[in-house]
Amino acid sequence: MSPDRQAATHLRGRLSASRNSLPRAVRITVAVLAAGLFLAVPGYGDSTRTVDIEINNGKVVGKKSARVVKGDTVVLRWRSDQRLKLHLHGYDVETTVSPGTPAEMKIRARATGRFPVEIHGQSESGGHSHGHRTIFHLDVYPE
Amino acid sequence: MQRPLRIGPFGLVLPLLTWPVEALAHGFAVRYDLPIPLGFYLVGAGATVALSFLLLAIFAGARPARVDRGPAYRVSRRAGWILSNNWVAGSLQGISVALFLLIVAAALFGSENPFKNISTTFVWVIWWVGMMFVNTFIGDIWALVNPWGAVFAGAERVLRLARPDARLSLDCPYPERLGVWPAVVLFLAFAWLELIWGEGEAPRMLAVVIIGYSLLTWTGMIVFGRRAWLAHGEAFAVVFSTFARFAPAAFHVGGLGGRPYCAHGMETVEGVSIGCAACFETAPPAERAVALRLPGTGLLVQRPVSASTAAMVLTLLATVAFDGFLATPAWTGIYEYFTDLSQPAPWWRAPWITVALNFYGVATMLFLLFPLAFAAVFLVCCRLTVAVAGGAATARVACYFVLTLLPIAIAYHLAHYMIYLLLTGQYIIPAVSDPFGFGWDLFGTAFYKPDIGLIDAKFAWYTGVIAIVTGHVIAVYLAHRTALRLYSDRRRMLAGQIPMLALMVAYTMLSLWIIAQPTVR
Repeated sequence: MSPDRQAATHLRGRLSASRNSLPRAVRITVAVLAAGLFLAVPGYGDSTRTVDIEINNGKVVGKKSARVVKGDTVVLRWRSDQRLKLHLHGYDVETTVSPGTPAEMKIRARATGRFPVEIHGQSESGGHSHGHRTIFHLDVYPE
Repeated sequence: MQRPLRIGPFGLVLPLLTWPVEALAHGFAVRYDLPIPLGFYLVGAGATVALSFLLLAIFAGARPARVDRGPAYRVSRRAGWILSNNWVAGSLQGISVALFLLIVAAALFGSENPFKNISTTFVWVIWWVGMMFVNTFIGDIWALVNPWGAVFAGAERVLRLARPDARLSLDCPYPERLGVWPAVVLFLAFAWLELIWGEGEAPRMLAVVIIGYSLLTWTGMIVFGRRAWLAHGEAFAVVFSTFARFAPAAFHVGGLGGRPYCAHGMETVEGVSIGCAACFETAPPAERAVALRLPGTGLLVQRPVSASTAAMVLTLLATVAFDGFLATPAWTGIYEYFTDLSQPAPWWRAPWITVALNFYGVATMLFLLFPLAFAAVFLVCCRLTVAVAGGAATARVACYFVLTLLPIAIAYHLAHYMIYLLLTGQYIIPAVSDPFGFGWDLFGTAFYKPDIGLIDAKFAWYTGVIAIVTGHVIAVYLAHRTALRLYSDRRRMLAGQIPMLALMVAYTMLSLWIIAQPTVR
């Protein structure tokens, strides 16, 4: 047994000893990875994100989800050709949009997750959804 | 973290307006899971494959005769004594029956808003998801608190006090051939109600379901006797005890003689049955104990399980996968394909087809197809095992190996339901203060608003992927141990576990794929 290993065995649990027992390559790899992670992680999301969403005949035109980062201030700006009551789950924000009158939902994205936006109080959407139809998702990712 | 509660008139009215009445999501409420990112998916998948090969290489050195020691456990007589103590058992059952009555009363007479009624949160989240975890990671607690069993036992006792020679149950001998098939069928019906029907979130409907199932269960007990029905027909007793086979603690009853199976269909080894609640109840006090073992080792069997138990396990696997699948864009694609009647093919114009092609029709077809497909794939794997390793009949091999798949289902459960339990489960906090939604505030928590930031997506991703990979490793190891028992020849033993390993990799990949899909509802 090499003196190094011996020391490690005797002083198990002591930080200095266990650090010495790590091969240098491992230490360098860990350091590089840690530095890489530190640099790669984007800054805490604290910007304001505005998303314009257009609803045509009860359906969202174009992208049906938006991706933001935790900590962002998010403004969902709705326009619609009919009068609709919209509800953002989880954050529990409700707004009513009418033709010619855009509506805004403003939240601070404090919780991560995939939050559906539903049309409420409509019976003609039919199907199994009892008049609550998901039309959009707000995805809040961790920083 | 509890936010300060503002109880002004606005604060009172706003939740009423904005608390959504949801449909069709795990019987109750919406899920907020973010799909695992590609990196997590790839690392999980890579680790699954790499660890599978690593384990196979380690197994290659194993010698059948030497390694097969059978499941090891310690026996705690003191725990057995505590659990069979009348006061302990009685108070557990008393609490359970009281809760059961509260839930039924709330479902019948409480608010019709599922978020303001304790019954919906309690049944779909706390009990159904929570009990499954308790039974899986602790032991068969459900067998101790089952309110249907407790009520029936209480009624039997009262009747015996009044008329000592009267019997509540007809005690017809339970037909052995039926096995746990009644429980399989009833569980499928329950899963259909939870995943497809979606009306079970309405308290009144839930009340109808609970009362209907209670009457059915008590009828079963009257005909076949309480213990026989709990062991074969009460769907939740059978499902939860199946999960409890994984658990670190289990009922241990000795002195059963040399029969291969106990009176309730559980295998006995050297006169000992492990995990049989009915044996525990009927045994003399000196024979009652609790076995403590490493999680998962209870899934190793000396004798093949019954075909109906195998069907139960496969049904469990299939329904949890189906549950996840229902929230994927792939499902939306299938659904839209079948229901898109704007350009119907000629053969689709038959009226009965158009009627069947709604959400319920398409989803139900797929729901029934899933268990059949799982069973078919599993049997093909067992056939391959027999083809490369020889030996027993395919069905026998299937009944040896089937329990080793359970850790993969448990891991997927953990990955899939954890956020649901921790986020939606919080609705129980306001509900305990106001169980009926009548505006009470018994414990000062009636205005608690669920904290959606309680767990971070990143935490959920790590736990999910780690759970799935760990479950896979446990399953592969258990399948190896089972192969050791089945085949005495080393080459056959190794060849024999390759089809099962392939199946497990496929199933683990399916689990990972599902949690990598964006939920679409």
